[in-house]
Amino acid sequence: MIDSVKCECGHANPTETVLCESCGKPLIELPEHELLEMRYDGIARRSQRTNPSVTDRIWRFFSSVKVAVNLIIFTLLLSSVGTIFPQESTLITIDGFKEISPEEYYSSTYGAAGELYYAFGFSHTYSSWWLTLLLILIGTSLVICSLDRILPLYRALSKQQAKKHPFFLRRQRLSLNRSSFEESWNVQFLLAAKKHGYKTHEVEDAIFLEKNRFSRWGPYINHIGLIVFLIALVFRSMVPDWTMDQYNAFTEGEIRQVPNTPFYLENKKFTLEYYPNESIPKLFQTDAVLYKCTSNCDNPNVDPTLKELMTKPIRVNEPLEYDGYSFYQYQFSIIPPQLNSIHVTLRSLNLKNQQTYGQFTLSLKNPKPEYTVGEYHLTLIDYKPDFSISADKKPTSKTQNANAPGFVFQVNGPNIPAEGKKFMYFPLPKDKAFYREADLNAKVGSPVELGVNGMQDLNFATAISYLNVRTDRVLPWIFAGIILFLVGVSIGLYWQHRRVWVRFDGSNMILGAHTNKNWLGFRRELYTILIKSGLTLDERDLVNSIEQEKEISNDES
Amino acid sequence: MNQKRWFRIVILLIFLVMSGYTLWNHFYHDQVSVTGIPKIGDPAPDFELYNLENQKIKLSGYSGKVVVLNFWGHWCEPCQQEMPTFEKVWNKFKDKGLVIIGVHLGQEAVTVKHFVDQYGITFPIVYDTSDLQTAHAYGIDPIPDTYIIKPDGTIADFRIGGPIDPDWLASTIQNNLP
Repeated sequence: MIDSVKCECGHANPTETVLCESCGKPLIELPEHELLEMRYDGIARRSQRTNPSVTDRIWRFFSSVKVAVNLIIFTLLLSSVGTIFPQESTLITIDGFKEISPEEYYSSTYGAAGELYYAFGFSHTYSSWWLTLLLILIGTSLVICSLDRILPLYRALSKQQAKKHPFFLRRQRLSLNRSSFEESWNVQFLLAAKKHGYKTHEVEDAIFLEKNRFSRWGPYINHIGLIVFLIALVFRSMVPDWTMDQYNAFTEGEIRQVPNTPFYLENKKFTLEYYPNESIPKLFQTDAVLYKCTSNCDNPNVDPTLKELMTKPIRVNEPLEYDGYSFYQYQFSIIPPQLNSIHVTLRSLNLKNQQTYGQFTLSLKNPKPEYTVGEYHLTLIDYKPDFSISADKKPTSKTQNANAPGFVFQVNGPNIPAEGKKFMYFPLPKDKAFYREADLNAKVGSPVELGVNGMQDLNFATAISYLNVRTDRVLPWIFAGIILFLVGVSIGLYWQHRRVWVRFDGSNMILGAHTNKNWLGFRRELYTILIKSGLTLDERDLVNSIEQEKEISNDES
Repeated sequence: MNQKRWFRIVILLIFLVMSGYTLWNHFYHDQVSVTGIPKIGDPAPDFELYNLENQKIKLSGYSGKVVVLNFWGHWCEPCQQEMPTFEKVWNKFKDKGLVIIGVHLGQEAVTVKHFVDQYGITFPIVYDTSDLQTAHAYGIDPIPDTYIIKPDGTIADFRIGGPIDPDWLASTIQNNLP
């Protein structure tokens, strides 16, 4: 196996090198009257090797720019299909309850086309395995394309020889040949070049000028940006915990766990204001308190230990933000006033000369089982939020909602037998009368009852606030990728890698110059430097005669 | 040369692993969350929930036994009616490799405890999470729902609605007992 090709200058080049890495002399036969192809400085790209193994073949496949472009076009086409109909993720589900199933939604809204769209999985294009796989393939291609080009290019550019072969110089797009020059010209030339920001390198019989080599890394920096961007996208679709976009209902006056987070959120108060004489809301606001649960989370047997984190009025476009989570005001619904909790007073049953023993708060949603009031101890034996009597004469609850709350307590305390006394409590007057609470309590001989002192003791919820809870931990990486991409693009666009080689053979001087873009700007700059160095020439003289001939023939035809 | 080959293999492997993970992730999750409701033969979605005695009960902890999952609510009439059937079946098969778990859709501890006393229920009752994650994982909408899970953790059969047919319940359990 031949690993290298030796140039006449003595340098050993990797196989398939076009221009000798050292002196620039072509190593393969090139057509006459053509300028040199300077792409990647004529280096051998890494994938172009003889006797490829399986790894090499796969590597070569991904190293192809053609493959990369095809992958990108294919991905763009597929992702644009995802924009035809709304994505499944835009169908809002509140607390896991979908208003409509996606299947039904697509078929009822878009007919047969919608059904097909759903069946083929385009309704979740951006989280689909095939799009993720395509992104990974593009990523592979980006990495391999970059590695294959950047490493040899870096090597070639970091060991450039000042003295190039005359052939190399004569075949540059900008080229100049002078048969006689003065010794002092060198000094003037180097001085002028330095003023224009060139790094100069002088060896015997040759001069090399170079500037802005870093602009060659621009494309690779933008590739790195794209890779960061792609990896972020892939992770976004693979790790569900890093992104969240859910809708939850928060009833006024209630603390509830925010699903899939360590947080509890309390809707302290919901405010709704309308524009005068209009039915358009001017403001809707949730006074929210955010808590973190430190222990006993989501355990119905024990109260959770909550630590208050922050308080904030949440309005449209003014979310509560904490640790990467945002709580946006999404919707609200005004409900018939619903009892949340009651500030009850424990008092003696004796109506004449009634004594009060103390107060406590009784919640109508998952009330606590034990209460201590003054010298009395109350145990909540049963609670029916929607009290009724079943067909088989058993107390039951018709629903989960506190429409007709009924409590059974056992009281222990002074002058009460050790096994305690039971009594009932119906907070709503209609139930109190219907189930004859006072008669029942008197019948069982309870010495106490519960009551309220007025409306101020009743705590109602009048609204449910719907919040959109979001987090996106991948977003900073996506932005980092985009910024890196833009930096790379600007480096590649606004700076040009300019190089000038000069070679002296006795009194003969050959100059060749190369840049990767903005040839006219470079020609003008080189012309200025040469004029400053004392040469007399026309700017057109720098244009290689091969190119001049071409231009003439073009003009004629 | 050898070093270069290893370098290439490592890079290609990284991307291969990423692709493999994507596919695995997708098709694994497909079974529980994407298609939604588990079907007969699917693995039963696992859960870990508190029971009335404040202990955590994990479904996968009962592998090797037939598990009957009953999703219920204290306010639901058919649930109340079918409770004695479950209690009977529980007493008949509990020593033969049967577990019945009543998953209550809601955390009304006082109400549920009283209900359990009232109906003399002795099989384990657990509370679903406050956002009913377990009920959602099984695609529960109307209650009651009853799932019978084989000793290998897959769903043998299920019934939506109630009250439950005692003959179906007993025979399905018997057919699947280890």
